[in-house]
Amino acid sequence: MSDRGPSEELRARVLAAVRSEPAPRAHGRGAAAALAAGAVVVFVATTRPHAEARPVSVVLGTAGASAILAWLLTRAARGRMPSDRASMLPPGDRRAASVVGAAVVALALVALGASLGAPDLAALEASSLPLAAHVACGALVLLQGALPLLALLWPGRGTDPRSPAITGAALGAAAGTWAVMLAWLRCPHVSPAHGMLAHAAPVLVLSAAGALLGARLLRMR
Amino acid sequence: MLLVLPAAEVFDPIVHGMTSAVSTVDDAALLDRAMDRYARGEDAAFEEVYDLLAPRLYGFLVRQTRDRARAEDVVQQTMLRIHRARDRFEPGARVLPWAFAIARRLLVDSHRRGRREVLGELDGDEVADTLASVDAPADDVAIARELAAKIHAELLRLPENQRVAFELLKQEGLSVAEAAETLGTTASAVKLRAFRAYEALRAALGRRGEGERDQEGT
Repeated sequence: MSDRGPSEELRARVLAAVRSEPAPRAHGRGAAAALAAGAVVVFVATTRPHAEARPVSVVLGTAGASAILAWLLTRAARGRMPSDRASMLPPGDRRAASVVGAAVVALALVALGASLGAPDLAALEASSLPLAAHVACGALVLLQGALPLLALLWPGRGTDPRSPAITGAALGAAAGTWAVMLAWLRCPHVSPAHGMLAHAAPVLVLSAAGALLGARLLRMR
Repeated sequence: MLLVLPAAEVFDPIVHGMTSAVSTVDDAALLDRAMDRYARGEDAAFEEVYDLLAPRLYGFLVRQTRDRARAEDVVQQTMLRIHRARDRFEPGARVLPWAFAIARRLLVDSHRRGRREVLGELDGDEVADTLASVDAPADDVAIARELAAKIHAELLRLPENQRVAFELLKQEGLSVAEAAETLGTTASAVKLRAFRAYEALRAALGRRGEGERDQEGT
């Protein structure tokens, strides 16, 4: 069996097929930028940053830590850690899965840090925070994570030949972490239970949504 | 026939020499640049992408399928997918790992659709043609010709992940990082798989050599 090269007939066939099927030439990043801008509009329209009873250090610390985490997870989910060269391939399955785990664990630690930064408020909320507060905050995280998720998925549509669902899950976790960063700017609650239920848990929902969307959008056709 | 176990200088050229394309860093860099130009809208660059990429994909796919027609079919599909993703190509990205990953996925998909893998016998004359390009003494070439057939047979017995890692590194000339990117795993995992494949080949060839020496002795 020879492996010396494909036939000239194949070359002619491929070149003819390419000529008859013009591909778009635009870099397709405009849509992603528009989605990211839309995410900012949604945030501004739906909420207003405020500290209320929280110390400013807690607001800045939680939002800052979440922002750094979101940036790192976004790069990891797209296979762009500092040591990585630009690539058309997402990170391997293990790294993508670890992005989801790292997001949930790190956000739970941030929530714990918020309660330690304002222990009196956390103790008060432990007995008085209604379920509706968790639900409202969680819903807002989901809403504010939706457009960043699409913005992360869009540039890579139809380019993942390996595991689009797992890649999508990692991008969902990264998008959710950006939404949690926004949540810490306006959410007045610091109880660990609220941090887990309303901030960290919705990241899992966005991750699941990312897996579903990723399987459809990222898959190579 | 007395089969002498290959020394590294004989064994390695056989393994490397089976590749269909000259695996050079320059070729990979040229390919990356051609794809960059194509993604930026230079239509004529696709021919360059094809000429630099298709022979390497074809060699890899023929070794996977032992079926020339099927290999060509997958090469065609891979090239068309690269064309369709032109507008989403990341400037500066490496093309080879992405292209091999696409080809591998298409191959797996075709297996799943029920197409039977055809594992043909090695054509000794064609192996001899390939080995003619290896600058080695005539005796070594004769031994190497037989070894090449045995290596092909042993490669087919290896677990798929070891075989593919070995082929990407030793036959397609990808770097460890590129092979890891193609397979979606870590560099150390690729090294380990390739090392295990290499050791399995050496052990299998060693066993055959001992067996043939025993036959000569009796």
